[in-house]
Amino acid sequence: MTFISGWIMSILGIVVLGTTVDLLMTKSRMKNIIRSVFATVSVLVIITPLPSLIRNGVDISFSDMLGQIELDTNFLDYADKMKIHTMKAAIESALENDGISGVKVELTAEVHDNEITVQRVVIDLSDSVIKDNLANINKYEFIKERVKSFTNNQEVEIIIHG
Amino acid sequence: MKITLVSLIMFVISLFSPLDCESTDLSSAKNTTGNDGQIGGNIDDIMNELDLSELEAFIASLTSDQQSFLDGSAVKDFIKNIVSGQAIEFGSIMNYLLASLGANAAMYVPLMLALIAVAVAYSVINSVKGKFASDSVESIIRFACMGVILTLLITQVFFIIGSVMDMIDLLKKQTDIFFPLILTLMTAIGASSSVNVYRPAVLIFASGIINLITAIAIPMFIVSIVFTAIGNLSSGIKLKEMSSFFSTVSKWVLNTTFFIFMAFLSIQGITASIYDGVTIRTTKLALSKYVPIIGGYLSEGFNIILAGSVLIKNSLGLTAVIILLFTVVPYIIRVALLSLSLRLTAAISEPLGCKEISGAISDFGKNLTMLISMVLGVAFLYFLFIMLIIATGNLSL
Repeated sequence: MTFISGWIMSILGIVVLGTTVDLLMTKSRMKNIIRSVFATVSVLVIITPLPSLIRNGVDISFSDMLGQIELDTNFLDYADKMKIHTMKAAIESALENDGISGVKVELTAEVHDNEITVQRVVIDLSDSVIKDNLANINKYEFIKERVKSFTNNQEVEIIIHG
Repeated sequence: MKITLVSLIMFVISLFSPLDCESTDLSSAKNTTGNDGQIGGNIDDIMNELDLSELEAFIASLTSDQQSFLDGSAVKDFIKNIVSGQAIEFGSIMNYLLASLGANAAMYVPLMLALIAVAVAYSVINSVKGKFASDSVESIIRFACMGVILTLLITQVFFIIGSVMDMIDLLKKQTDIFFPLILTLMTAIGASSSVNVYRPAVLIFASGIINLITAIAIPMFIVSIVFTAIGNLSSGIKLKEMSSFFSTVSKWVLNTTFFIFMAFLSIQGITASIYDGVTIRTTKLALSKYVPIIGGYLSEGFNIILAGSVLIKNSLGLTAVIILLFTVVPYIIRVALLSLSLRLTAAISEPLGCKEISGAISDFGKNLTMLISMVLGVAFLYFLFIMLIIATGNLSL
């Protein structure tokens, strides 16, 4: 910008000087010669930046381009927790549907986009109520099998207590 | 330029139609699942978790007139109102824009009167001098009058350049505030392909294009306007073509950049959004079909989370557009009005018989169209960007 203003000021200076001289001089051959000289000088001043521009090129630094857009990581963690919570609630509902109510499920999982990779499921049966029709089966094995199928048979560590 | 503008407008109109469909789809989805209450609660939770402090600080920094769209409510409440489908008062937007138009028009009246007064004075002196004054005296009078006219014009043009710089700064601030929020919400709904496309695009817009305007286009405009002034000041040295050259180069640079950026953004954005839409639908289908029993619950729960995030994302986008209208459009009106005022002044001074003066004023008015296309282009690009993002995320539902 400083370079441009300097360049413009020099052109303006030459033009104003040329016009003033032109106004002060009477009609003569000399006036035409001086007019031509000023016109030539103005052209020279106008093209002054060209050689350095061709030699060095134009340097426009986009320093901000190196910056990154910071996403709200706290919110993304919250959204992931919401998704994990949805899965937890879904497992509890599904087990209740199977006849085991009051189950508390804790999940350790990772969320990538909308894909939940479950690593560990902790099931607390201490307050659970099991329907009579499930009384004669191994509830631990049953729950493990169900949870495995819920998590799409991923390699999941399932801990059941209570 | 006109063809580009018309095609851009057509493109935006075409963007709006899928937007309407998507919003209808969303409302019908809400009704069919019967989860309105859950979505409402989910929206409150999301709004509480989303960090809107920068947006609130930005809005607090605006003038009371610019804040009038909030109607006294907090930003969060305003966004929630949009989510709940409460209509925005377009009347108040129009009133604000008309008030801005009136205020700016009044601002240019003294300039117009001053220019016309000089033109009248020049005309009167020329008619009364008769054959008594020599050619040199006539040239000195012309030089003095042109000096006054050009000083007035250059002062006003540099003032308007300052305003344009303020506008670009304001637009950059808005980009820095809104896009991280919207991209966060898009990441949360799992539209990661779109986010990967838009993230560098936001950087190119906020740094590249805005820098291009401040580092190349505006200096070229200044050079062009100064050459116009010098060319009009002296009858011996003609610089009109030099001014026209800089003006043309600047237009080409801007048009090419805007076109390439918009083409890249539209094609990449739409492709990525379709990819995201298919991925999310596949995930939900896999959840509901292949995971026995639980899939239904899970898919439903996912729908609620996604719907809440998408609704807030769209409301934030709409808020960004409204803030754009209230903050940036007055600057566009200011530049456009200056150009029109100068052309009107040139038209008024032409019958007075001062060709040089009306020519100089008209040249300035014509040069200002370059500044208008600059501010319109950058504001339109921002608007288009927001609209694309609003339309993009919806395809994921």
